[in-house]
Amino acid sequence: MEFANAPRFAPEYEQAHEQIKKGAIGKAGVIRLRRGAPASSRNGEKCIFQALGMREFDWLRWTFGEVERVMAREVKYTNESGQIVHYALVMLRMAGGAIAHVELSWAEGTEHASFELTGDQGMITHDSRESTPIRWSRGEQFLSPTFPEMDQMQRQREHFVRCVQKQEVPCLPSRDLLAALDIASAARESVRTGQPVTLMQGGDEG
Amino acid sequence: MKVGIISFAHMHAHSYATYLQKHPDAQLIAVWDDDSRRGEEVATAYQLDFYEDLQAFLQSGIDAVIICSENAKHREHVISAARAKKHILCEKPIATEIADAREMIQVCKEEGVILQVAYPVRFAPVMENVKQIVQSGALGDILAIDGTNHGQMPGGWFIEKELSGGGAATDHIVHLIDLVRWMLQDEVKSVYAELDTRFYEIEVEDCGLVSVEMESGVIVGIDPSWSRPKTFPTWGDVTMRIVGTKGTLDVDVFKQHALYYNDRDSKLQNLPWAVDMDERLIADFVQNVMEDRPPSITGEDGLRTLEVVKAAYESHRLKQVVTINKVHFSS
Repeated sequence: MEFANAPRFAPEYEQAHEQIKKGAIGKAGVIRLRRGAPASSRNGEKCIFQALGMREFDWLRWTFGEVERVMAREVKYTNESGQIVHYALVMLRMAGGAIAHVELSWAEGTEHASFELTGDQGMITHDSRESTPIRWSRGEQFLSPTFPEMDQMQRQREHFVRCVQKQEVPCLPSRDLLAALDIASAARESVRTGQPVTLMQGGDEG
Repeated sequence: MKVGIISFAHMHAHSYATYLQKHPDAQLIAVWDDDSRRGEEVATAYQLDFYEDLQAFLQSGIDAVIICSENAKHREHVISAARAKKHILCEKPIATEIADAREMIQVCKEEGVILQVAYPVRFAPVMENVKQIVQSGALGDILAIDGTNHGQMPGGWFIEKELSGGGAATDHIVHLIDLVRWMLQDEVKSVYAELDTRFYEIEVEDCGLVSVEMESGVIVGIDPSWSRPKTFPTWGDVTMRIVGTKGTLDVDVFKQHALYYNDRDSKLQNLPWAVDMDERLIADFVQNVMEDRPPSITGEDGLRTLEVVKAAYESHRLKQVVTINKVHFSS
């Protein structure tokens, strides 16, 4: 089983993962992730932590290990035209000690994602809105070309094919998917109780 | 109007001194410092009379003081100045303990002097504009604010708990909370915080995240970390994403700068060209004193922000959300 549309297949997230593993920022401190998309009438029934947050939660776990504690707050508003503005702030304490901030927003003009990864030896930042190599303006219209070999879905499909052909082992096994789902439900639980939710005992007491 | 500065321990004193000297209605004439070497140096640099004795300084003919001593000394200096009937601009945070802040406010009230707390970001034209947009209703009702006040690690007394009261949480949470309270006319209801020391071998926290709910239900995220690398092109940032029912506003208060690729010193530098907020803060304080107006940023504003910092430390200790118990004043 594989999970579609994970940012570990997006080149910028894959590169950031590799840099962290290589020690580029040293000991991780505060990790900030943001993902946003426009408000929509179709998000009404959806859980924002699952629909929008899974990719960030999976990437965090993949890169920094297990999550110890989750605190989340959420706001939701349906305007006159039936569009649902939905926004959540999640704070995660990783078992390894790093502190992560995940902003999930259905309140944006366009889709975007960004990260800021800080540690005691450096910082890596990325913002999808500032990574457009070609901007084509025609009056109000902006065109942004895509690059097939950098396309996240395409990379994931190719990986899947290689797994079926047994040339590669799946890099996102179902247990990782379940772990990311656990984080999403911990966030939901935290919103419900108004208190942090502990997933496991970790390393920040040491 | 004649002004004196109590201590140059906080580096903002230099900026305040510069703008006092530029101000046509203010005369900076005296400095007191418990570090006499520092006091004599700045007295020479700004052509001031240096006093080693605080009472002599307070009797030097000044109408107002700016207090830039270490956080834990604010209480003593504010109370001494108020007893001598001097108007006061006090660097933030107002104090390191809630009881101290309360006493400072009470004494200034008794003596009938202005106690203004230095939250200069309110005076950044960018923030005034943002406040106007928020209060005009153009964003609809505000639902959430996600803010950062990052910095580089300041060192010195800022990382000595007895003098500073704490690290990054003490230094930086207050700015964001002050801006949120000021824009939304709302108070903090509950606080959750994860704090840690992960960047430097120091005794105070150097990073963290804070999650706040306001009384109105607005949710707020704050990152007060000293997480800017040594190679970062400026001291830090104040940013906010403000989510309303009708739109989302992205704010980067110090975005107005050119970028300098400096080969002479092998570094990258932001060169700000915005209107200086400290200059406007000083002008506001001078005008408040001269026209006998109430302070723009009150002691109670300072106290409310300090309560949130204390709640953040308590939350970090308990690993629980902490509800704010506001200190009320009997009138």
